[in-house]
Amino acid sequence: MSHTDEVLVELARERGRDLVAYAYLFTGDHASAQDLVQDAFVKVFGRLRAGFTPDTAEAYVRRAIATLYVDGFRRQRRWAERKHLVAGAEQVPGSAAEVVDRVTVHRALAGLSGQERACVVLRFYRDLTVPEIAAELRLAEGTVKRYLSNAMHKLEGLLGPIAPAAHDVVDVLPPAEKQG
Amino acid sequence: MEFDLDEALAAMHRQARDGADALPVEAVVRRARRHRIAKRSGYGAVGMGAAVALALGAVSLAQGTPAPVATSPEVATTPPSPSETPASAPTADVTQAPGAVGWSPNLSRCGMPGQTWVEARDGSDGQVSVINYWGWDEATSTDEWPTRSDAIWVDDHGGTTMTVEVLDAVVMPDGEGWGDVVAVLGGPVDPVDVDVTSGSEGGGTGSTGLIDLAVPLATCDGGSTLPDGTYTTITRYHLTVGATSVLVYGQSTQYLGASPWVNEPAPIDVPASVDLSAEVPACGSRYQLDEVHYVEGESEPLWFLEPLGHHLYAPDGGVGPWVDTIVYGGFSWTWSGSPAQAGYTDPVAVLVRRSDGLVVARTDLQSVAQHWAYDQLQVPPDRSTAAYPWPEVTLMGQFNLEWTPVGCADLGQGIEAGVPFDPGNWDDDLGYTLHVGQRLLMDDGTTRWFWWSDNPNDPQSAP
Repeated sequence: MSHTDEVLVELARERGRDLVAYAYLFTGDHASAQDLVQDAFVKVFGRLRAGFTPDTAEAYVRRAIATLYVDGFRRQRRWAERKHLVAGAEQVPGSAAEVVDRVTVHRALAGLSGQERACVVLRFYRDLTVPEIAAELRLAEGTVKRYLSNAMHKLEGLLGPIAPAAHDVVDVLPPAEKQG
Repeated sequence: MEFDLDEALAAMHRQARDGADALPVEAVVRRARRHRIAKRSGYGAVGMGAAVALALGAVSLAQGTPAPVATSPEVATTPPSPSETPASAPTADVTQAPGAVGWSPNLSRCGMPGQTWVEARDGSDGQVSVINYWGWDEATSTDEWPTRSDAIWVDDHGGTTMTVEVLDAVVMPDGEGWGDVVAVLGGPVDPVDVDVTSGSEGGGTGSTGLIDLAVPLATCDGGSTLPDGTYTTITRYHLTVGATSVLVYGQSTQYLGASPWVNEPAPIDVPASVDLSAEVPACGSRYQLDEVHYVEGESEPLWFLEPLGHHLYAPDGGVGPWVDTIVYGGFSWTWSGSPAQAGYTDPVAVLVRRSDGLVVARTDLQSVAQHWAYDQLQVPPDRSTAAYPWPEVTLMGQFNLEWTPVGCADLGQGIEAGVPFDPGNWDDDLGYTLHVGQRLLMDDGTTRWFWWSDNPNDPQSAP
């Protein structure tokens, strides 16, 4: 087995579930998250890479997850749209209040475009700054700000006022919108 | 009270992790290996399509014209309502290939959501050692309606013969969601024996077989074709290699109808060979990437440039010498905007830039015959420009990148495609990045260079 494959195996075994859970934040369903992670692995390990370690490879895979999700959003959305036509809603354990919260968050995230959702996940889950998100998704910073701004408007319509991310949102929303 | 989205996402992650299945490690390893082999052998995602096209040509010679469309206008064609669609995958009950006698299109599938087919593939992927790797989303290919063809990767069966049997096929409109079935398998298809060839790289092995057969399709409404538009076809196959059999699915998308070019493209006088010396940074110059012209969505419309089938090898733990450089394959472009910007790509340039900006290798004279395609959409051979009707378009192209090998003779370095590459005097203290650029002629007549870069040791430039 090549070094690349050894790293792949170790990463998949040690961090596979975490990566699928990470992908789930983008896709909103387990099956698509599995597909997305596998595709990300293939993209990253589809070429031989020198000096790869599981840690460095994980960064590549996470980035690939985000970019593949954005690039393939329309396909992913087709999956997501039809999934619940033939399968029941995924079970959501927890108290009634927690379930309501999660379902609401799911619904709110599902209303975002692929780019908007990716930006939200990177901003609020991974606590990346706008420049970091721009680098991750290979977008212009202004584009990221626009996606985040649009996303926040949509999310707040369902979730109410949202606490700022770990990094202040000053650089996300234009002044007029923040005041509003 | 403010909603804590950080915590909500963290909770969602915890919940998802608890419910996540383990990754099928062996299957992922196989896919990654095949990906490498595909690239190495020229069968990148786009290259595979080209290979299929060649296979189709062989079919045409061997079998003459494709099987005619089998239509049955006398059969009731009213699609069932979605509520009547069975919840389970309808493909599960199909276990035999259609026979020639008494065969008629299964129009009962008309109107049902194509998603049921999508879901049915899960049970067959990765369960046995014959896998429709390319068939799902990367390499199936269509020829002209009403027939189509597929390419299938298999595993560990090099040198053997694979028998391919078409069991079923459905066609649905492609759009925001999986559409309802509008066409089905239109006639019997005789099983085909496919020779499986092998390849290997990096300790991995894999095999590929190209299915060169035409699948006839029949419209649900009895018509001879479908309305103009983009359609997705999913085909179900029964593959047999030795004593192993498996059901696999192939998917493809094709555009039907008149040329989607909004305006008749106007030919542009582009020389077949372009002297890049005036446009590409010279050897020994200090080239700083221009953010405005750097690919990766820096401007609207968004552009993504990714050379497919690109290999750049470096030994462990250092920059040089790089021992193998292979550059070929296609570029995937996506742009958005309304109206979409026009443009075509012509000269391709490759240069290697040291981290201090010094250009240490580059192309010189470029003559590339490029072939662009959006599924069935062929970019005019005169390489003319046009506007596209879609607000968002993905173009994929594939071509062989042939370039003058020696770019920086004064530095004693050279690059060749497809052969060992060891310039011998790299500065180990500096990093090196390979840049691939394409010149685009925009619809306003201006030209712009877009660059893509890759440095295997630079996390910022990969994947």
